[in-house]
Amino acid sequence: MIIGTSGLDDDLLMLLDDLVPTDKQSFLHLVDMGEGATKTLERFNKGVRAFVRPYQVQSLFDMGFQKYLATRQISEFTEWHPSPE
Amino acid sequence: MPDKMPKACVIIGAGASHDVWNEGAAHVNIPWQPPLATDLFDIGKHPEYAPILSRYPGAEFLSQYLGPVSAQGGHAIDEALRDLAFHDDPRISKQFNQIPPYLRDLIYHTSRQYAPIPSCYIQLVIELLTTTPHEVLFLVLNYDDLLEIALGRLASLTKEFQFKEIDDYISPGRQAKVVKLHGSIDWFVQMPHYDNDWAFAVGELKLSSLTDSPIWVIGDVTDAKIHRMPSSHDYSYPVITAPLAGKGSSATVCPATHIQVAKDFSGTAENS
Repeated sequence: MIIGTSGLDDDLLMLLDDLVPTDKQSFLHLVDMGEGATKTLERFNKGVRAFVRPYQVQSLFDMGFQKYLATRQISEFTEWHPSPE
Repeated sequence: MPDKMPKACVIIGAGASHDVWNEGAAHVNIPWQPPLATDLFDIGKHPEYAPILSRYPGAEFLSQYLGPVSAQGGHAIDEALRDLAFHDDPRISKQFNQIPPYLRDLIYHTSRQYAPIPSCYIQLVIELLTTTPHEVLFLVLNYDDLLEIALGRLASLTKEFQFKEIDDYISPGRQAKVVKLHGSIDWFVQMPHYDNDWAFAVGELKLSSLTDSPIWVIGDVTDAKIHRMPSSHDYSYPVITAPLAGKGSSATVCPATHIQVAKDFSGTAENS
């Protein structure tokens, strides 16, 4: 889950590239505000090898952190399980 | 902590603290909303920041250059800060060393004055740690301690989530570990006092070697400039990274042990 950051920090992208396994399924919720959200997702997808399909399912929320929680979108993240291989 | 909890990695940036209020808190103090990078030096838009900035003449000087860049919006401010941080002229680079203490004090005051309680972070930790319990790695880019406050409130009786020493953030067995890549408002290193000349002492600092020194966790410091280390007369200097464009691995100021914990976390990760 990524909340409220631009994806411009190379140190974060490098760490995520090390941290997120490329051989396992994962699920990403990106929570941002406004029109920049798509660009933010593009930056993460470009900078982190594991952020590619089919290993990762992605959802983008562009209404901000407070609305993301208030509308219970977070339950989709917390209840996600990898599908059987 | 039960075995075989699903794992979740949560990355938290400035937009999360900026949007931290919800209806569970009685009020907000709008002028002190936790800032985004574009707000930090836009004193025209945020005149309430001026008394904090004026404590740091070097930061105030450079703010005259950074303010118009801030006001343009976008990510130009990160580029401008980078140019100043690595400036060839020591008259600029020495004054740049006063920017982290300014940012630290600013974030301290915004995080204390905006809302009485970090509502959305509390919602987040309830969802992730209790409603559907996960083992969580928080990778935090913010300097504020709002997430730590939320975790502390969750376990206020058991004191499971205390952050009094630097290793507490990654304490083994905790359901949630917190790695603050760019430092924290309550992290300090010791700085020689140079006959009580704070500006000189700060100008002599090599920011690139900050993390070679032990990091002390010291809560509720209202003014980094006047704070002295416990049990000595030495100054303290905040351990935070200015928001520089394209921050590389050298911008990471948290201890190497914290980074290693983050890397080890993914071994059997299911979510990301």
